[in-house]
Amino acid sequence: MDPILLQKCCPCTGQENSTILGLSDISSYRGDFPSPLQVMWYAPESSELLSTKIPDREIRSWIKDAAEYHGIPHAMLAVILQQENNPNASLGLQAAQFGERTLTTFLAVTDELLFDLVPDKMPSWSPIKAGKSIASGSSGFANMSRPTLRAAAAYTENMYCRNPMPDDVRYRLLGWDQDTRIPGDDWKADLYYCAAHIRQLIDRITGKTCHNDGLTREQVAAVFGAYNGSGPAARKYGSDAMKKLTDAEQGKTTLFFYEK
Amino acid sequence: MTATLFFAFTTALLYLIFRLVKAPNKRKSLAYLTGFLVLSYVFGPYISNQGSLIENEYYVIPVQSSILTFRPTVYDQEGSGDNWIYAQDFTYYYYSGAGIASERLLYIYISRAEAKNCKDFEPTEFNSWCIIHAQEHDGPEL
Repeated sequence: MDPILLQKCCPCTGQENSTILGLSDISSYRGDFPSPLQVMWYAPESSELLSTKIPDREIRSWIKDAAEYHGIPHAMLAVILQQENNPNASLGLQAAQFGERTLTTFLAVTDELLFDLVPDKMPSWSPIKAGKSIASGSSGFANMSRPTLRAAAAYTENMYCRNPMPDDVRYRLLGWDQDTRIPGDDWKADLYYCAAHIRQLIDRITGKTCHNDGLTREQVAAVFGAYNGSGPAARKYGSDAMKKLTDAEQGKTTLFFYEK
Repeated sequence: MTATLFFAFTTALLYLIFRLVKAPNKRKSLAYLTGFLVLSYVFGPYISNQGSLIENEYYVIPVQSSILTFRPTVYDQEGSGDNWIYAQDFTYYYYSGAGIASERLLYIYISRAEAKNCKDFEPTEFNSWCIIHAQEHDGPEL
């Protein structure tokens, strides 16, 4: 008797593309990031072995590629990255933010290697930030938490039947696999996880799995808000992000992570 | 700021416990440890709130509360904001989660005295709050 082949039926094709209805042309930013602190965690590719600096334009090309790979509006990813990495912040604040995110990533990696040793949350008796995430806290370029990142990656695998990043992004120097599912240990991978999460939120907010259509302004604002969380604070984040997008369309503000 | 504070607090606590175990003068080491814990509990909310205000521009400390006494108890674990959902101080319980449908509201709250009149009151289950006060925000509709 011939063996029966079980083939997974994939709900989406991976060719879906969501756009923003009526979005005006947004000017590309081609200069250097205004950020006074320009450091990141990154696993080099074979051709980058001796590089110590990645040009800002190349980082913007990663952002565009990540948005295209997941079929999400490029401008949405650029706005969220700007919301999460205020490029105009002072050096002190950026250094503190980088240090905090690096430590969170370090605790997440330690937790991963040492069998859940680091507590996920501060214990309720803690005098400082009781109940707040530690090892699973938000981190990395896109400031995503580990559970959110993993859920987004799993969503891409289950609904779009592919890895959250293409092989040329996933495998780096000596074949090193950067699909670690840990926020912040490689900022290029973070962009793909972030785009995967935005794709997941677009599908959720529109109520259409494999969304392949235009998004209304209200839906875009809701996706921005959902990226931040739920409740009034997240709604405020969503309306601020929407304002940033509208201002960029009108040339009133610059999207530093956006280059066509 | 959470990871930094966790790291600093745990390191200091472990050091003081190690010192207490090892030191010949246990009374002095015990005094240091007690002092550290007392100071942590007294200034913990201030340090936590100050850290959150610096790192998160959407962090709200209710006008009914203060930076010295406000203590979030449940955080939103899904989003990038790590915003508080439930919180409390010596006088009130607060809620600022997805259950707030009105776009004009910032959070809702109930006093501890009023909570005593609620049957089956749960501080982290706002559906069990029998009296609710609402705080609106000053800005445009969210």
